[in-house]
Amino acid sequence: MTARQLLRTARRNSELTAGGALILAWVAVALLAPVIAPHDPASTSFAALQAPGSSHLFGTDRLGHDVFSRVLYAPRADLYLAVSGVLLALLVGVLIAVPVGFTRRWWGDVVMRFFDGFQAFPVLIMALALVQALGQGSGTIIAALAILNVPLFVRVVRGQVLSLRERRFVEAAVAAGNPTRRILFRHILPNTTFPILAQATISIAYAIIIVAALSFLSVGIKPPTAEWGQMISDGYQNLTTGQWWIAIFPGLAVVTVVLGFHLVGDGLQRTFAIQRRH
Amino acid sequence: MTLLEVKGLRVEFSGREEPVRAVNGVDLEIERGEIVGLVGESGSGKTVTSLSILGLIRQPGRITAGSILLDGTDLRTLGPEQLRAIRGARVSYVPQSPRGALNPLLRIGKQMENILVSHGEGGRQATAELRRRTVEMIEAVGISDPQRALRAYPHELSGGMAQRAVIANAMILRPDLVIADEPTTGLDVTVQAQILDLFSERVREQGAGALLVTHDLGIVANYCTRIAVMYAGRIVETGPARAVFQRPRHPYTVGLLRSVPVLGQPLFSMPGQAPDLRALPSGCAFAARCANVLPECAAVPPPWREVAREAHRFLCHLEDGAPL
Amino acid sequence: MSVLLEVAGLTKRFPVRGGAVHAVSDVSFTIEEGESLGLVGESGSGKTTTGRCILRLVEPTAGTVRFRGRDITALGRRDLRAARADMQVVFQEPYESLNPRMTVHQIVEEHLLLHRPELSKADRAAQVAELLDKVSLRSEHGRRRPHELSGGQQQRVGIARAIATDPAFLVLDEPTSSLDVSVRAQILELLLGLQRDLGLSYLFISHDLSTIQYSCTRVAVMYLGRIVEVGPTREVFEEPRHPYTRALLSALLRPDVDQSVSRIQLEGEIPSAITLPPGCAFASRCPVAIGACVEAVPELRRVAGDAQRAACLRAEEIPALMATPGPG
Repeated sequence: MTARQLLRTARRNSELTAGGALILAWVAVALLAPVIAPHDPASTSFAALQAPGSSHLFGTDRLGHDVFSRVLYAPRADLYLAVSGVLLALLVGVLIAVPVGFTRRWWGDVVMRFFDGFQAFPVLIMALALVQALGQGSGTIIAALAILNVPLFVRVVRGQVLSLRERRFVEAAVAAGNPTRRILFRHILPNTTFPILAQATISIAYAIIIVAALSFLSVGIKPPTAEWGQMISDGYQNLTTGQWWIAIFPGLAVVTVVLGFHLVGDGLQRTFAIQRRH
Repeated sequence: MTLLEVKGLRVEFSGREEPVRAVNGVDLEIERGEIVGLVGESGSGKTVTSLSILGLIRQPGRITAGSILLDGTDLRTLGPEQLRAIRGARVSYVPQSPRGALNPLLRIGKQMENILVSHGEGGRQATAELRRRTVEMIEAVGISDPQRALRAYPHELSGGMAQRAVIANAMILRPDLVIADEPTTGLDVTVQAQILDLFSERVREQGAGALLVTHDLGIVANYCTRIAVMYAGRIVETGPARAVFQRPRHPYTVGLLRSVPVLGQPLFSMPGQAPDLRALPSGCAFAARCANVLPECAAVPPPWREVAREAHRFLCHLEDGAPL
Repeated sequence: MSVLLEVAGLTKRFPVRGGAVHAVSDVSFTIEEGESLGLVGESGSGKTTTGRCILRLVEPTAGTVRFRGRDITALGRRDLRAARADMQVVFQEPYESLNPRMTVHQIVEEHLLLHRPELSKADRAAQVAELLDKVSLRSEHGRRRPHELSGGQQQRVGIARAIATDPAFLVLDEPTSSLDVSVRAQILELLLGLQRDLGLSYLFISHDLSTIQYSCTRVAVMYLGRIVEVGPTREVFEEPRHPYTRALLSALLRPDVDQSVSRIQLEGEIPSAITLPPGCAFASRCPVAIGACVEAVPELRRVAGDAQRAACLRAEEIPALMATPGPG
């Protein structure tokens, strides 16, 4: 679908509008962090454990970081990792799923059973194992997110392809004399964008949580890079001693951005369902 | 008293832009014992008209004007509970797709009993009585092995059998008025004729009136006593089927009849397409496609004209209608 | 005139649990240059599968399809794709058959892109404009997407793309059935006009006898996967020799209040296409069946004139046995 169609749908769908606004806001924050953040996020030159106030809007943490600046810088890591991992999964998933969905031969089923087995593992355990195997680092996190998400994209895209290949316009493309590759990528794939987009946004929401969770478990992004999960992990022990701001502000940040992606995902699914009924 | 009298019916569907004026002042009468064919193409308003009579216009649709009198009672003044009591019992509906009209999870017999029970019949006395009436009805729609059909689930029946079951459902409460919307679309020609034979026989036998909504002029010519032709939300010609088929007057009716291929006659290909219901012209909606258009047609609303002694009327500026 | 298409022994069985659906059984016919053959039958008669097998949109189980002498069923993938330039199809549901994500221009252009790679972009654009004009669409329609067009316009796009590569033969699969009555006539006239101007041959598949009668010189009637009667349209419609053709014609409702045809009532249900009876498939519903009918499948044989053939043991007696159907 075209950008104009997307805009028109967004105007009619409040979930899409609200979610899109949340995501855009966080993307803007990530891009403009150096401009709007009052302090260097890595600087530890402030008095530790100051409560939120006029000099430090969200207070400071145990090491003397400015929490506000770190919350603003964190999406540069969190969004970047989550979006890259999911986009990689999308690309690989589509390349696998389109031929697997289109073929009527035995190997299509074999590939699907493989991914079914893959999906049986608990996500976080799998992520931990992958990080252990590949070594810590942002490349590893992206790879782990991609591996976790490929089966989801394969499933969604294959489902679409299975129904699209029975459609009359695909038969018309065969009758026209199109080679199979062109049928797959010119006629079938463009008609799967809606469900793929919906899956991607939901996957990104989960990926953000996984990135944060890995950091929380100290196998994700290494300090001093600002990252929400890391910050929550640092601050949660202080919750009991009264310094709530260290963990709560990054926590709220995660909630809003995840909510944004979920809203967009639901909104897309709803519009797709309506569109399909016509 | 006239069984059904629709007067000045208007229905609009509001959207984000201009409302779609689906029905623009329809007058329609149906007497007991007659089958009126409501003919039109897609977007002509024939289905919306029939749904209005059944009280089934839903948001964003709205009846904006007119009255729908069933034996003198205006259905538009009734509450939802009163309407529900009338639907099925006094006015019943045979929809286009029998598959959609039958509950896939219930046996045919059970569905028929449910209709009886939900309209307060049967009560405590009479499982046996209910059973007897369903068997009687299913036989009346020409199903030769009624016991088997009543025990069947809808998917176990062929398309023709399923449509017979739908007709049985529609007739079991002996309604005064039956509305059938394209009841044979999707059925094979040999089955179509059987279903329509049966439908008209049932309607006549029970002394009901019927509205048969269709795009098929062949069906109207063979099964209807009267015809009403709709175009862009208005009836443009109505009269006894015999009179209208022998000498159609409205240029649209003439064009429609000549659009059906008949060997040895040149096929008439009506130019253009139906107008946008959001921006209807002030005059005749058919003017842009009309072969006999006059200067005043586009701007001045056409008057009703009567064909002497025939109860045959048409909506046109041409005094005698289109030349043949 | 010379033979363009020769179908011989065409058979298609779809495997299902515990057997196979006999969709098409031993169908043979020819179509000459510039001729249209009507293929009529009810749902499940196999007429649509026959059309698809000829184009190899469905792989036939047995039989040959010779197009200008060359056996289409024996072509490899690459040759088959190239051969599609000469044999095209127009589908029943115009909207369903157009890719919703492509513009009208792209849809029509694709056929040129595939089969005339030597054309420049500008040449293709000029040809697309010419094609749209041939089907009475304006050039600005080229920028639209299928959902922005009316049903009739969508079918014009389907036709424009089918004739883009100058094919000799089109399968028309119920091309007017899903359209409004007044639009049907427009599309039918367009198809007949194109046939005259371009010398096309049609296999015109339809359940609507009036449409076939109006547009085809010859007609074949199918019942449960087999051709039961074939011949010049006029002869078949005036004096059908197969009881099923007669029943079909008598069920035709003409827009004529004086139509007085005693309808032939067919009793019973159509047999299952999985377990076909050993004899004539129509025998179970036939009002004039005799004992011999259920023993062997009657062969399609010449019964009247030069060209009218019917698969009925009693074909010669049929006019006397059954009421005359309505005037042709």
